[in-house]
Amino acid sequence: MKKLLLSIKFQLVIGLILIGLGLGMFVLRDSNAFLHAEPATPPVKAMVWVPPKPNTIEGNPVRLDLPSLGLSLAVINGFYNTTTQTWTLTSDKVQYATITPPPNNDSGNTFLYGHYRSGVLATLHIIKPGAQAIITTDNGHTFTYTFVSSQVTDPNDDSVFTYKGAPILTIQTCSGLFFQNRQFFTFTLTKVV
Amino acid sequence: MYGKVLGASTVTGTGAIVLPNTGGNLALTIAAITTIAVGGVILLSTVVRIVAKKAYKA
Repeated sequence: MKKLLLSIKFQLVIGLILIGLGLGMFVLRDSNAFLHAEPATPPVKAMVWVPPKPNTIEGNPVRLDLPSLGLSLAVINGFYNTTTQTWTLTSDKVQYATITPPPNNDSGNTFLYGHYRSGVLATLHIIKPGAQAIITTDNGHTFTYTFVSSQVTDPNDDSVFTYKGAPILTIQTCSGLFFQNRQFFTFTLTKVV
Repeated sequence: MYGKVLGASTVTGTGAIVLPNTGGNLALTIAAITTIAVGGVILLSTVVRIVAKKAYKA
């Protein structure tokens, strides 16, 4: 009887330990320690230079601020490798997809992306409509965008790359239990300084 | 000052663009779910054993 009770207690403890361990791993799955970060890959495709229209303000993004989330993140250039179909992806910065237009007051969709992890974009999903995103460029301009909506999509959705129209900003991070989805957060341009 | 880089119209010619995989660690996610499931099964089976034992005694 005592042996049996001991066995039951032991099993209860083992069960609880396993559940605790599993919950711990679940929390740590987006931490820096276990995150696979891909090294920067050089651009495979040569970029085509198009002169900007007169009076167009634009610049290469170097910082992204999301005041409502208390986030201030460095932005680096992100390149797409057409051979491996991978992107430059770091575990602590936001990347600007260089195949999309830079922040500007003329047109196009500026695409930024970053890991779903604490310290990067793990809290982006709680952003509220009307919240601001401020991009600072390397030539001293500040682009202020306002959050409009978010959309969950699949990894093959290329709508951000085909967008034509008023200048907007799209920030992407992953979502879903197995990070199988991509979530777009769309912002409209409201101010340029 | 800055020129624009042509977007999808340039790149799609070489094939479809796959969006960046910005998720966390998938292996750790699977390990976490498996561990929770195994722990849950052990816990549940133990509780069932205790209940069955008490019922048998009664």
